[in-house]
Amino acid sequence: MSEGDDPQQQCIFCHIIAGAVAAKRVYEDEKVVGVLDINPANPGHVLLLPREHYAFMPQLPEDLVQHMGMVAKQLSFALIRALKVTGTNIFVANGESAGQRALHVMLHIIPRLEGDGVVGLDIPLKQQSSDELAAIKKKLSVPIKEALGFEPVINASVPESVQSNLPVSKSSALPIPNAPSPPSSVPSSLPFPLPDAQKLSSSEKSESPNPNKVSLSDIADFLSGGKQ
Amino acid sequence: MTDCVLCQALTRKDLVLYEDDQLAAILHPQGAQPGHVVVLPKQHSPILEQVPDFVVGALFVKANQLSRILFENMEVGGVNLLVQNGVSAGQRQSHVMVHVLPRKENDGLNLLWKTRQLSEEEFSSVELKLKEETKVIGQFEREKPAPIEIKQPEKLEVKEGIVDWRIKWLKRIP
Repeated sequence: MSEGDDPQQQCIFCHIIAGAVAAKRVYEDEKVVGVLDINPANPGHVLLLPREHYAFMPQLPEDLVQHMGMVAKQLSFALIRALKVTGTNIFVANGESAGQRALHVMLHIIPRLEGDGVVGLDIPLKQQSSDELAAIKKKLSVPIKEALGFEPVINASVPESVQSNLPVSKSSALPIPNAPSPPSSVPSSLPFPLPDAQKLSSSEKSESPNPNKVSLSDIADFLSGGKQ
Repeated sequence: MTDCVLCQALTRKDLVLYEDDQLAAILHPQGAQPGHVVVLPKQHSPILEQVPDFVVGALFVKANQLSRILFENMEVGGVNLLVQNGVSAGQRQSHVMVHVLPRKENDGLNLLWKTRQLSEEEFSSVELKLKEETKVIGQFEREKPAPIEIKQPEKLEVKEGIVDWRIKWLKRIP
Protein backbone atom coordinates (compact mmCIF):
# COMPACT_ATOMS: atom_id res chain seq x y z
CA MET A 1 0.00 0.00 0.00
CA SER A 2 1.51 3.29 -0.98
CA GLU A 3 -0.93 5.47 0.95
CA GLY A 4 1.57 7.89 2.33
CA ASP A 5 3.54 8.21 -0.92
CA ASP A 6 1.01 9.61 -3.36
CA PRO A 7 0.35 13.29 -2.60
CA GLN A 8 -2.73 13.19 -4.80
CA GLN A 9 -4.34 10.64 -2.51
CA GLN A 10 -4.17 13.07 0.36
CA CYS A 11 -4.91 16.24 -1.56
CA ILE A 12 -8.46 17.41 -1.07
CA PHE A 13 -8.26 19.63 -4.12
CA CYS A 14 -7.38 16.69 -6.33
CA HIS A 15 -10.51 15.00 -4.94
CA ILE A 16 -12.52 18.12 -5.70
CA ILE A 17 -11.20 18.19 -9.27
CA ALA A 18 -11.99 14.52 -9.70
CA GLY A 19 -15.52 15.13 -8.49
CA ALA A 20 -15.20 12.97 -5.40
CA VAL A 21 -15.77 15.95 -3.11
CA ALA A 22 -18.60 18.37 -3.82
CA ALA A 23 -17.72 21.89 -4.88
CA LYS A 24 -19.35 24.69 -6.85
CA ARG A 25 -17.55 24.70 -10.21
CA VAL A 26 -17.73 27.91 -12.16
CA TYR A 27 -15.24 27.19 -14.93
CA GLU A 28 -13.36 24.23 -16.32
CA ASP A 29 -11.32 23.27 -19.32
CA GLU A 30 -8.77 20.56 -20.07
CA LYS A 31 -6.04 22.17 -17.96
CA VAL A 32 -7.67 24.03 -15.08
CA VAL A 33 -10.77 24.08 -12.91
CA GLY A 34 -12.28 27.09 -11.15
CA VAL A 35 -14.34 26.51 -8.01
CA LEU A 36 -15.92 28.79 -5.44
CA ASP A 37 -14.00 28.96 -2.17
CA ILE A 38 -16.13 27.70 0.73
CA ASN A 39 -14.45 30.19 3.05
CA PRO A 40 -14.42 33.25 0.84
CA ALA A 41 -13.10 36.74 1.43
CA ASN A 42 -16.09 37.99 -0.55
CA PRO A 43 -18.97 36.28 -2.37
CA GLY A 44 -17.60 35.08 -5.69
CA HIS A 45 -14.11 34.26 -4.42
CA VAL A 46 -12.82 31.78 -7.01
CA LEU A 47 -9.97 29.30 -6.68
CA LEU A 48 -8.31 28.47 -10.00
CA LEU A 49 -6.65 25.06 -9.77
CA PRO A 50 -4.56 23.13 -12.29
CA ARG A 51 -5.94 19.64 -12.91
CA GLU A 52 -2.52 18.12 -12.43
CA HIS A 53 -1.21 18.10 -8.90
CA TYR A 54 1.60 20.54 -8.17
CA ALA A 55 2.51 21.75 -4.70
CA PHE A 56 4.14 25.08 -5.58
CA MET A 57 3.74 27.43 -8.49
CA PRO A 58 7.46 27.45 -9.42
CA GLN A 59 7.02 23.76 -10.27
CA LEU A 60 4.41 24.46 -12.95
CA PRO A 61 5.44 24.15 -16.60
CA GLU A 62 5.45 27.46 -18.46
CA ASP A 63 2.56 26.74 -20.78
CA LEU A 64 0.35 25.92 -17.80
CA VAL A 65 1.31 29.15 -16.02
CA GLN A 66 0.54 31.09 -19.18
CA HIS A 67 -2.81 29.36 -19.52
CA MET A 68 -3.68 30.03 -15.87
CA GLY A 69 -2.74 33.69 -16.25
CA MET A 70 -4.98 34.10 -19.29
CA VAL A 71 -7.88 32.27 -17.63
CA ALA A 72 -7.41 34.33 -14.45
CA LYS A 73 -7.67 37.54 -16.44
CA GLN A 74 -10.86 36.40 -18.14
CA LEU A 75 -12.31 35.06 -14.89
CA SER A 76 -11.61 38.39 -13.25
CA PHE A 77 -13.53 40.13 -16.03
CA ALA A 78 -16.35 37.57 -15.72
CA LEU A 79 -16.57 38.31 -11.97
CA ILE A 80 -16.85 42.02 -12.64
CA ARG A 81 -19.62 41.50 -15.21
CA ALA A 82 -21.52 38.92 -13.18
CA LEU A 83 -21.37 40.44 -9.73
CA LYS A 84 -21.04 44.12 -10.67
CA VAL A 85 -17.99 44.56 -8.48
CA THR A 86 -15.52 47.36 -8.94
CA GLY A 87 -12.25 45.50 -8.62
CA THR A 88 -10.56 42.15 -8.33
CA ASN A 89 -7.45 40.79 -6.69
CA ILE A 90 -5.44 37.91 -8.06
CA PHE A 91 -3.35 36.36 -5.30
CA VAL A 92 -0.99 33.39 -5.12
CA ALA A 93 0.70 32.10 -1.98
CA ASN A 94 3.81 29.96 -2.43
CA GLY A 95 5.20 28.64 0.81
CA GLU A 96 3.91 28.64 4.35
CA SER A 97 5.39 32.04 5.19
CA ALA A 98 3.45 33.45 2.26
CA GLY A 99 0.19 32.06 3.60
CA GLN A 100 -0.07 28.85 1.61
CA ARG A 101 -2.42 26.55 3.46
CA ALA A 102 -2.94 23.72 0.99
CA LEU A 103 -0.38 21.78 -0.99
CA HIS A 104 -2.05 22.29 -4.35
CA VAL A 105 -1.27 25.33 -6.49
CA MET A 106 -4.14 27.77 -6.63
CA LEU A 107 -4.78 31.26 -7.87
CA HIS A 108 -7.23 33.22 -5.76
CA ILE A 109 -9.45 35.58 -7.74
CA ILE A 110 -11.25 37.79 -5.28
CA PRO A 111 -13.97 40.29 -6.21
CA ARG A 112 -13.70 43.61 -4.39
CA LEU A 113 -15.95 46.53 -3.64
CA GLU A 114 -15.07 49.87 -2.11
CA GLY A 115 -15.53 49.58 1.65
CA ASP A 116 -16.12 45.83 1.60
CA GLY A 117 -14.15 45.40 4.77
CA VAL A 118 -11.62 42.99 3.31
CA VAL A 119 -8.40 43.52 5.22
CA GLY A 120 -5.20 42.24 3.70
CA LEU A 121 -4.37 41.98 0.00
CA ASP A 122 -2.50 45.21 0.29
CA ILE A 123 1.23 45.62 0.54
CA PRO A 124 2.49 48.17 3.07
CA LEU A 125 5.37 50.13 1.63
CA LYS A 126 8.69 50.81 3.31
CA GLN A 127 11.49 53.15 2.40
CA GLN A 128 14.41 51.32 0.82
CA SER A 129 17.78 52.96 0.36
CA SER A 130 19.27 53.03 -3.10
CA ASP A 131 22.30 51.12 -1.79
CA GLU A 132 20.13 48.26 -0.59
CA LEU A 133 18.35 48.17 -3.93
CA ALA A 134 21.63 48.20 -5.82
CA ALA A 135 22.94 45.36 -3.65
CA ILE A 136 19.87 43.21 -4.28
CA LYS A 137 20.03 43.93 -7.99
CA LYS A 138 23.67 42.91 -8.07
CA LYS A 139 22.81 39.70 -6.24
CA LEU A 140 20.04 38.81 -8.65
CA SER A 141 21.74 39.86 -11.87
CA VAL A 142 23.73 36.65 -12.40
CA PRO A 143 20.78 34.28 -11.77
CA ILE A 144 18.58 36.45 -14.00
CA LYS A 145 21.16 36.34 -16.75
CA GLU A 146 21.40 32.55 -16.48
CA ALA A 147 17.71 31.86 -16.20
CA LEU A 148 16.19 34.57 -18.37
CA GLY A 149 19.01 35.49 -20.71
CA PHE A 150 18.91 39.19 -19.82
CA GLU A 151 21.74 41.13 -18.24
CA PRO A 152 20.54 43.88 -15.88
CA VAL A 153 22.60 47.06 -15.92
CA ILE A 154 24.50 47.51 -12.68
CA ASN A 155 25.14 51.03 -11.43
CA ALA A 156 27.21 51.88 -8.42
CA SER A 157 24.67 54.35 -7.00
CA VAL A 158 21.44 55.95 -7.99
CA PRO A 159 21.38 59.75 -8.19
CA GLU A 160 18.42 61.21 -6.32
CA SER A 161 16.93 64.40 -7.64
CA VAL A 162 14.48 66.66 -5.85
CA GLN A 163 11.49 64.83 -4.43
CA SER A 164 8.28 65.67 -6.17
CA ASN A 165 4.85 65.39 -4.70
CA LEU A 166 2.66 63.42 -7.01
CA PRO A 167 -0.72 63.21 -5.32
CA VAL A 168 -2.81 60.22 -6.18
CA SER A 169 -6.35 60.66 -5.01
CA LYS A 170 -8.05 57.49 -3.85
CA SER A 171 -11.51 58.74 -4.70
CA SER A 172 -13.43 56.58 -7.08
CA ALA A 173 -15.27 59.24 -9.02
CA LEU A 174 -15.24 57.43 -12.34
CA PRO A 175 -18.27 55.66 -13.77
CA ILE A 176 -19.07 51.99 -13.34
CA PRO A 177 -21.00 50.17 -16.07
CA ASN A 178 -24.46 50.16 -14.47
CA ALA A 179 -24.62 53.78 -13.45
CA PRO A 180 -26.17 56.23 -15.91
CA SER A 181 -23.22 57.53 -17.84
CA PRO A 182 -22.12 60.86 -16.45
CA PRO A 183 -19.93 63.06 -18.62
CA SER A 184 -16.37 61.97 -18.20
CA SER A 185 -13.15 61.91 -20.15
CA VAL A 186 -12.77 58.22 -19.27
CA PRO A 187 -14.45 55.91 -21.78
CA SER A 188 -17.53 54.29 -20.26
CA SER A 189 -16.32 50.88 -21.37
CA LEU A 190 -14.03 50.75 -18.32
CA PRO A 191 -15.75 48.43 -15.86
CA PHE A 192 -14.60 50.06 -12.65
CA PRO A 193 -13.01 53.20 -11.29
CA LEU A 194 -9.41 54.11 -11.98
CA PRO A 195 -7.15 55.79 -9.50
CA ASP A 196 -7.06 59.50 -10.19
CA ALA A 197 -3.83 59.34 -12.14
CA GLN A 198 -5.25 61.78 -14.70
CA LYS A 199 -4.78 64.51 -12.10
CA LEU A 200 -1.05 63.91 -12.02
CA SER A 201 -0.31 66.07 -15.01
CA SER A 202 -1.91 69.09 -13.28
CA SER A 203 -0.23 72.06 -11.65
CA GLU A 204 0.59 70.26 -8.40
CA LYS A 205 3.62 68.57 -9.95
CA SER A 206 6.80 70.23 -8.76
CA GLU A 207 10.09 70.56 -10.56
CA SER A 208 10.73 67.74 -13.01
CA PRO A 209 11.28 69.53 -16.29
CA ASN A 210 12.83 66.57 -18.02
CA PRO A 211 10.29 63.71 -18.29
CA ASN A 212 13.12 61.25 -18.78
CA LYS A 213 14.85 62.23 -15.56
CA VAL A 214 12.59 60.52 -13.07
CA SER A 215 14.22 59.91 -9.72
CA LEU A 216 13.89 56.94 -7.45
CA SER A 217 11.98 59.05 -4.97
CA ASP A 218 9.49 60.17 -7.63
CA ILE A 219 8.75 56.59 -8.43
CA ALA A 220 8.65 55.66 -4.76
CA ASP A 221 6.20 58.45 -4.01
CA PHE A 222 4.05 57.52 -6.92
CA LEU A 223 4.02 53.83 -6.13
CA SER A 224 3.14 54.54 -2.52
CA GLY A 225 0.17 56.65 -3.50
CA GLY A 226 1.58 59.98 -2.30
CA LYS A 227 3.12 60.86 1.04
CA GLN A 228 2.34 58.37 3.78
CA MET B 1 1.33 57.81 -21.95
CA THR B 2 4.07 60.23 -21.02
CA ASP B 3 2.71 61.31 -17.63
CA CYS B 4 2.77 57.80 -16.20
CA VAL B 5 5.65 57.56 -13.77
CA LEU B 6 5.87 53.82 -14.26
CA CYS B 7 6.21 54.16 -18.01
CA GLN B 8 9.02 56.61 -17.36
CA ALA B 9 10.57 54.31 -14.75
CA LEU B 10 10.92 51.63 -17.40
CA THR B 11 13.41 53.83 -19.18
CA ARG B 12 15.66 53.85 -16.09
CA LYS B 13 18.05 50.98 -16.45
CA ASP B 14 19.19 51.01 -12.83
CA LEU B 15 15.81 49.72 -11.62
CA VAL B 16 15.14 47.29 -14.43
CA LEU B 17 15.88 43.63 -13.70
CA TYR B 18 14.48 42.21 -16.91
CA GLU B 19 12.87 43.46 -20.08
CA ASP B 20 11.72 42.22 -23.43
CA ASP B 21 9.30 43.46 -26.10
CA GLN B 22 6.17 43.01 -24.04
CA LEU B 23 7.04 43.49 -20.39
CA ALA B 24 9.63 44.53 -17.86
CA ALA B 25 10.46 43.62 -14.26
CA ILE B 26 11.70 46.28 -11.87
CA LEU B 27 12.74 46.38 -8.24
CA HIS B 28 10.11 48.22 -6.23
CA PRO B 29 11.87 51.26 -4.73
CA GLN B 30 9.58 51.23 -1.69
CA GLY B 31 9.07 47.52 -1.45
CA ALA B 32 7.74 45.86 1.65
CA GLN B 33 10.65 43.44 1.66
CA PRO B 34 14.10 43.38 0.09
CA GLY B 35 13.65 41.74 -3.27
CA HIS B 36 10.13 43.03 -3.88
CA VAL B 37 9.83 42.92 -7.66
CA VAL B 38 7.12 44.31 -9.87
CA VAL B 39 6.40 42.90 -13.36
CA LEU B 40 4.54 45.21 -15.70
CA PRO B 41 3.56 45.36 -19.37
CA LYS B 42 5.46 47.92 -21.41
CA GLN B 43 2.30 48.99 -23.19
CA HIS B 44 0.50 51.32 -20.81
CA SER B 45 -2.76 49.82 -19.55
CA PRO B 46 -4.59 51.04 -16.45
CA ILE B 47 -6.55 47.85 -15.82
CA LEU B 48 -5.92 44.16 -16.37
CA GLU B 49 -8.79 43.81 -18.82
CA GLN B 50 -7.09 46.13 -21.27
CA VAL B 51 -3.90 44.07 -21.39
CA PRO B 52 -3.98 41.50 -24.23
CA ASP B 53 -4.39 37.89 -23.05
CA PHE B 54 -1.04 36.71 -24.28
CA VAL B 55 0.72 39.55 -22.44
CA VAL B 56 -1.05 38.63 -19.19
CA GLY B 57 0.10 35.05 -19.70
CA ALA B 58 3.64 36.28 -20.24
CA LEU B 59 3.44 38.47 -17.11
CA PHE B 60 2.56 35.47 -14.98
CA VAL B 61 5.23 33.30 -16.59
CA LYS B 62 7.86 35.96 -15.86
CA ALA B 63 6.57 36.49 -12.32
CA ASN B 64 6.80 32.75 -11.76
CA GLN B 65 10.35 32.59 -13.10
CA LEU B 66 11.36 35.54 -10.93
CA SER B 67 9.81 33.95 -7.86
CA ARG B 68 11.86 30.82 -8.57
CA ILE B 69 14.99 32.98 -8.78
CA LEU B 70 14.07 34.66 -5.48
CA PHE B 71 13.58 31.27 -3.83
CA GLU B 72 16.95 30.07 -4.99
CA ASN B 73 19.04 33.15 -4.36
CA MET B 74 17.59 34.98 -1.40
CA GLU B 75 16.55 33.85 2.04
CA VAL B 76 12.85 33.55 1.52
CA GLY B 77 10.33 31.31 3.16
CA GLY B 78 7.68 32.05 0.58
CA VAL B 79 6.71 34.29 -2.32
CA ASN B 80 3.40 36.03 -2.93
CA LEU B 81 2.06 37.10 -6.29
CA LEU B 82 -0.52 39.86 -6.15
CA VAL B 83 -2.45 41.79 -8.77
CA GLN B 84 -4.53 44.74 -7.61
CA ASN B 85 -7.08 45.46 -10.28
CA GLY B 86 -9.14 48.54 -9.48
CA VAL B 87 -9.10 51.13 -6.72
CA SER B 88 -11.29 48.98 -4.47
CA ALA B 89 -8.72 46.21 -4.79
CA GLY B 90 -5.94 48.50 -3.63
CA GLN B 91 -4.63 49.70 -6.99
CA ARG B 92 -2.86 53.00 -6.42
CA GLN B 93 -1.36 53.72 -9.82
CA SER B 94 -2.88 53.42 -13.24
CA HIS B 95 -0.51 50.89 -14.71
CA VAL B 96 -1.08 47.17 -14.39
CA MET B 97 1.47 45.48 -12.13
CA VAL B 98 2.09 41.99 -10.81
CA HIS B 99 3.80 42.17 -7.42
CA VAL B 100 6.31 39.42 -6.65
CA LEU B 101 6.82 39.70 -2.92
CA PRO B 102 9.32 37.54 -1.02
CA ARG B 103 8.23 36.53 2.47
CA LYS B 104 9.86 35.25 5.61
CA GLU B 105 8.40 33.79 8.74
CA ASN B 106 7.42 36.52 11.21
CA ASP B 107 8.20 39.30 8.77
CA GLY B 108 5.35 41.36 10.13
CA LEU B 109 3.29 41.20 6.96
CA ASN B 110 -0.16 39.75 6.72
CA LEU B 111 -1.77 39.67 3.33
CA LEU B 112 -4.44 37.15 4.28
CA TRP B 113 -8.05 38.07 4.61
CA LYS B 114 -10.70 37.21 7.13
CA THR B 115 -12.95 34.48 5.80
CA ARG B 116 -16.70 34.86 5.66
CA GLN B 117 -19.50 32.39 5.98
CA LEU B 118 -22.11 32.48 3.27
CA SER B 119 -25.45 30.76 3.16
CA GLU B 120 -26.21 28.05 0.62
CA GLU B 121 -28.54 30.42 -1.27
CA GLU B 122 -25.86 33.05 -1.58
CA PHE B 123 -23.41 30.48 -2.89
CA SER B 124 -25.88 29.10 -5.40
CA SER B 125 -26.86 32.50 -6.67
CA VAL B 126 -23.23 33.52 -7.14
CA GLU B 127 -22.49 30.21 -8.85
CA LEU B 128 -25.35 30.68 -11.33
CA LYS B 129 -24.42 34.26 -12.15
CA LEU B 130 -20.78 33.37 -12.65
CA LYS B 131 -21.46 30.31 -14.79
CA GLU B 132 -23.40 32.50 -17.22
CA GLU B 133 -20.43 34.78 -17.65
CA THR B 134 -17.72 32.12 -17.74
CA LYS B 135 -19.32 30.45 -20.77
CA VAL B 136 -17.51 32.92 -23.02
CA ILE B 137 -14.09 32.13 -21.60
CA GLY B 138 -11.99 30.06 -23.94
CA GLN B 139 -10.95 32.22 -26.87
CA PHE B 140 -7.65 33.72 -25.92
CA GLU B 141 -6.01 36.57 -27.74
CA ARG B 142 -2.73 35.33 -29.16
CA GLU B 143 0.27 37.24 -30.36
CA LYS B 144 -0.12 38.10 -34.02
CA PRO B 145 2.61 36.39 -36.05
CA ALA B 146 5.03 38.63 -37.91
CA PRO B 147 3.87 39.43 -41.46
CA ILE B 148 5.21 37.05 -44.08
CA GLU B 149 7.53 38.71 -46.53
CA ILE B 150 6.49 38.12 -50.09
CA LYS B 151 9.41 37.63 -52.37
CA GLN B 152 9.29 39.75 -55.48
CA PRO B 153 9.51 37.62 -58.62
CA GLU B 154 12.96 37.72 -60.13
CA LYS B 155 13.39 40.07 -63.00
CA LEU B 156 14.45 38.41 -66.15
CA GLU B 157 17.93 39.56 -66.98
CA VAL B 158 18.63 40.41 -70.51
CA LYS B 159 22.26 39.62 -71.21
CA GLU B 160 24.18 42.33 -72.94
CA GLY B 161 24.98 41.73 -76.52
CA ILE B 162 22.29 39.17 -76.99
CA VAL B 163 19.33 40.65 -78.65
CA ASP B 164 16.00 39.28 -77.73
CA TRP B 165 13.98 39.81 -80.86
CA ARG B 166 10.71 39.65 -78.95
CA ILE B 167 11.68 42.63 -76.78
CA LYS B 168 13.01 44.52 -79.78
CA TRP B 169 9.78 43.90 -81.60
CA LEU B 170 7.78 45.23 -78.62
CA LYS B 171 9.91 48.35 -78.36
CA ARG B 172 9.62 49.22 -82.02
CA ILE B 173 8.19 52.57 -82.89
CA PRO B 174 5.25 52.05 -85.17
